[in-house]
Amino acid sequence: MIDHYAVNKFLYDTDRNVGFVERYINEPATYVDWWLAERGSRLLDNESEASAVAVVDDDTRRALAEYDFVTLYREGAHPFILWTLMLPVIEHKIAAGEWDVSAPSGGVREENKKPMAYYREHIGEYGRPDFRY
Amino acid sequence: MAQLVSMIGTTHHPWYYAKTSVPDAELSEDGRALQEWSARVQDAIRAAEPDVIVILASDHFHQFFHNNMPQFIIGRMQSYQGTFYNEVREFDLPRVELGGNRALSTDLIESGFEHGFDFAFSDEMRLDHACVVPSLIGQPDLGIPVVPVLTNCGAPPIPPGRRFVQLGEVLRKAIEGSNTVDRVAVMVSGNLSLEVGGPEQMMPYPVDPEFDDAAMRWLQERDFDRLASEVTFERLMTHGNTSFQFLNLLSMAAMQGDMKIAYAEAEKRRGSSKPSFIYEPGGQQ
Repeated sequence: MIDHYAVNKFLYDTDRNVGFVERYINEPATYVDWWLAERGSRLLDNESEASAVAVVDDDTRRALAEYDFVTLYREGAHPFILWTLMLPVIEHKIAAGEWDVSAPSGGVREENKKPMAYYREHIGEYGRPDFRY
Repeated sequence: MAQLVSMIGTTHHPWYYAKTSVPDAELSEDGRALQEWSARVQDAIRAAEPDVIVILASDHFHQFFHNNMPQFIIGRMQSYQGTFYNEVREFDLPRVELGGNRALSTDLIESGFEHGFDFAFSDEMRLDHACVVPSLIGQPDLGIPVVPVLTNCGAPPIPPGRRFVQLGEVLRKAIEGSNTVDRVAVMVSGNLSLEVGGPEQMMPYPVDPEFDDAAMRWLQERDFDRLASEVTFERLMTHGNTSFQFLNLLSMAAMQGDMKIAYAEAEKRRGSSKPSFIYEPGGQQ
């Protein structure tokens, strides 16, 4: 089971800070370790005080470091902020030719054709997990 | 005492600006429909001549998060900056500045105390596309000051439908009880069935057209018993994982009072149906 608050805090804090998304894209494992040590360990919006919810288990760390959005989605990470952070990641991976995207099956919006199709293809079988925790 | 001179219920489709800011020949069908909606709303607001526009909308995890999540919060600033870098990144939204009216904000907060609503407030609020897009739709020159009222429609536990009905009733009383301004318009930013980051996101059809049609009817009939029973977390999730901003439209219907509905359509579009309401003073239908 993922640590929902810590995962959502990672998604929220990473997506809202210029430069963090780029670091997550370029060096995910290094960035996740740095984030957990330097950001997750601190109270949000307070650089001086420690957080009481700082520790995440190895599975959560691995899922974040490996962009394992399927696990995060299935286990109830907030679907909105999970998608908004994974969108630039998937865009990058597709543009770099690292993730293969087959032609989507018709009718998908042009502006998000490939990333959304890729995302949907992977999370679709899990429906809409309850993201309350 | 202030008068409610116009009320608009509108989409805050984040690609609004990108879709409508292209040469005419390159406009998509969606872009053209959005432009037509904007023209209609601009006409209504121009005719109403409001001093201030109260915007009822929801932050999308740009300013508020589970560490400190207000259910209902009112901005209390003399001016607001709009959009965030990740919205510029994803949607090409322009960075904007909107005037505010701090005195009216304070009036609404203080009136809330009298009517059973303890609003949170923010003296450092930044507006995301939920406020920016309706503003671009209704007043693209951004000349009319705004008072943002933000609701939690994203982070469960989300207030129940009844609470949004009460919010509308309280806001109407609060606006009409203010002596700070004379003429107030309200823009309510919401959606019908909608999925973001789920199995039916950006499909070529609305997520749940049957719900959309029924919901439009319930809103117009102000069938609050039905609405309240249909908008639980579990029920709304069956219409898409981001359907919760429908709740803002319950507040809109509750604010109607003696206004009449001049326009009510849910244009079927890809991904979601666009709720479009214009209310005018002039006696209930």
